[in-house]
Amino acid sequence: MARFVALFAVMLTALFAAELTPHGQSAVVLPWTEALVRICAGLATLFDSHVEAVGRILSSTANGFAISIEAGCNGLEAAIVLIAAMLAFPAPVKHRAIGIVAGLCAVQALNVVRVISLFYLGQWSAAAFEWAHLYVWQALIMLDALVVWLLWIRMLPRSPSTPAPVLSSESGVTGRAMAP
Amino acid sequence: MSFRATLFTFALAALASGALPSLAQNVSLGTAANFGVLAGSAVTNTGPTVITGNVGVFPGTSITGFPPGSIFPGSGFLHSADSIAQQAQSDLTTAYNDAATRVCGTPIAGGLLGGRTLTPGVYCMGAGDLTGTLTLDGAGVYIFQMASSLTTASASSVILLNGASACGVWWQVTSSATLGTASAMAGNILALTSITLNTSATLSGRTLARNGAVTLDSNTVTACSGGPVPAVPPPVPVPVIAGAAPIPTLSEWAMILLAGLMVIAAYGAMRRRKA
Repeated sequence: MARFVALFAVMLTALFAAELTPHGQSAVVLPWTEALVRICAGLATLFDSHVEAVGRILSSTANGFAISIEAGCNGLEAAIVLIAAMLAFPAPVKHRAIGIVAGLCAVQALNVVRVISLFYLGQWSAAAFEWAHLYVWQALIMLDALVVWLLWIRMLPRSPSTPAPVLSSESGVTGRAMAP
Repeated sequence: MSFRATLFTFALAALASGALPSLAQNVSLGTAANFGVLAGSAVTNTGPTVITGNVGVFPGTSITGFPPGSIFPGSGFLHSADSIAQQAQSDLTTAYNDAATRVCGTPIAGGLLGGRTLTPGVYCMGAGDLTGTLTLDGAGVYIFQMASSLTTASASSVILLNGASACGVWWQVTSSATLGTASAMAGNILALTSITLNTSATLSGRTLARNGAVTLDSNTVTACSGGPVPAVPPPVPVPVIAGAAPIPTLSEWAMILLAGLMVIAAYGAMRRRKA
């Protein structure tokens, strides 16, 4: 258990450090954030023709309301916590890969719902927007990551024949996982 | 001194004294040009008002009635007490002071503007009253200085002829401006206090109030562009950064809590696997 906690801490530090580097920001965080805005705008325009995306800003041409998806709003941090835990936990490589992809998809899918809901909530009420942004969605994103984590642990073989070593290049893992 | 030199000297003196108002410089709005509506305390709307340009308030925070009011697609955003509205208010003050300190060329007796045809120049009056039609004839800068209020009657209008541009018309109002029902106004209204547009009044220009409120009711406000040099630029949509406040997907504490819960879950799982 101590080994898991230590590895978890190391993985968290390494992944967050990689995320904060200029290369991490330009290669992953900013493109990821802009892709998130485009996905949200694309989904919203299916039922609302007044939505447009410019860079990291999602706006309504009907009333001028706009939200900016900043680096901390893209769900990457929650995904990093989940990925770090999966890399630190003793498990076969195949299970790790499946868990990381599934975890990323789960967190990002919920984040898309979060952004779209906040976009419309903000147009309705600034107070509701703040409350949902601060409390409701943080709790739901945490719950989402935690459920994925619990399901992943339950799906692991009870006694892996040969626990795979922790991957040495965490930035490489992050890059592969983010490719989809 | 030759005749040509004397003529040149007279022309220069005339320009300097403002006797050739049609050649006067236009008022510069700075970033306030991006706003169709700008208020100091609040923007209140009723009905399906359409604004071309940004809508802002500073230092007040209240913008209500959008929707049903709307901003013409792609022309602007709502700015409630943000840095964009703050800068626009600062630039509005500069423009207001410029318009207010231009030398009055023609006093308007009683402030009665209806039925007149005016050429470019600086016109001053106490309270301005427009009933009927005011015709502005010719390209150039028109500045109307009101020592108190500006009121337009129902269905009154301003007609622009022979190159006169709404962006060359300035209403510098020392107190408040009220546009009557279904009136059709042209020009940029720079009011020290408040501006009220009654039902269905239309404005080709801007409603810019320094300290008070802008009240709208089923209006059309189209921020003009162009006019005399320096031309007023078209409004640039300046996006609002509503989510720019540091409110991330997960706060630092939420991430610590999530990591802690994961460790607890991992501990339970490891115990089960050993059992």
